Amino acid sequence: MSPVFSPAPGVRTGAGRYLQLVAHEEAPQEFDAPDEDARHLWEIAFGLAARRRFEPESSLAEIRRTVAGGLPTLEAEMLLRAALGEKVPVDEIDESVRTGAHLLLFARLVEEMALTDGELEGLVARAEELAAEPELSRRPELTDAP
Amino acid sequence: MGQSGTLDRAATAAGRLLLDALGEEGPARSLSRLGSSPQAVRLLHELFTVAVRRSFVGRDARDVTGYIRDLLEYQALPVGGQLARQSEAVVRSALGEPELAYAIPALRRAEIICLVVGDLARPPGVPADELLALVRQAEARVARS
Repeated sequence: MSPVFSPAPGVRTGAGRYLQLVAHEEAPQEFDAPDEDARHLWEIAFGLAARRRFEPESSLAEIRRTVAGGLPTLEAEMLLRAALGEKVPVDEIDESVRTGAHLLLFARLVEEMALTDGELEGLVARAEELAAEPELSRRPELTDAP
Repeated sequence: MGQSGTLDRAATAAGRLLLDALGEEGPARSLSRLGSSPQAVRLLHELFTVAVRRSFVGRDARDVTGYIRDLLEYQALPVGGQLARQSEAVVRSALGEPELAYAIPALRRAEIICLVVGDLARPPGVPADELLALVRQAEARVARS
């Protein structure tokens, strides 16, 4: 059941604020040893951004343009396609590659969608809400176009 | 699947070696043992390119993902991890994305090529005449290069 009152807006966690910095290309190169909660949040935020940017059957050429450069291309493509609900091979991807892809692709997706600061904040805050709900947070969430 | 009726119709000795391997019980494994014949290995790579292009050019690239899953399942190999990604990369490298396969070790690339070409003989298999035509096309590509 949905709460009567929406949670207060705004990003509440350090990992969430780091995501905002990443999207603004202002983040320090290394996040200080991200813990599991941080990685979980980043994965959720990446999924939200991916599904806001792409339709499930978006052309692979379009997806490849987003993932090209700075990442292991096929791994990044598979992570993005998995976030869109496709059954693709994403086992045996090194944790650092996975986390790096979530962060870098999140930033690219935000850039491609030209999200405003407020929209970015709302996206990260939504990811934080989902991350706080362990049972729900693994499910894909369809989002409206920006 | 027997291809013996076509064995004497390939133009080259390498072509006959390939057709012979494809007619054996475990074609992918038989193809992987052709390493002592550089001509056969060269032809195998061209046959791979020809077979992949005939199968996938003009189709949705996502069909490659499904094909690889089906192929690895048939071979009782893991379908969700690195081998599947590498296999997709090698197939797509023949479809205009060569950079995808640059980082894949040569031995693994060769194994994947054997799996895919060997799959031509998976029951019910490619008709003998078509298989021969594919080999001849591969032979022509080798001769041109």
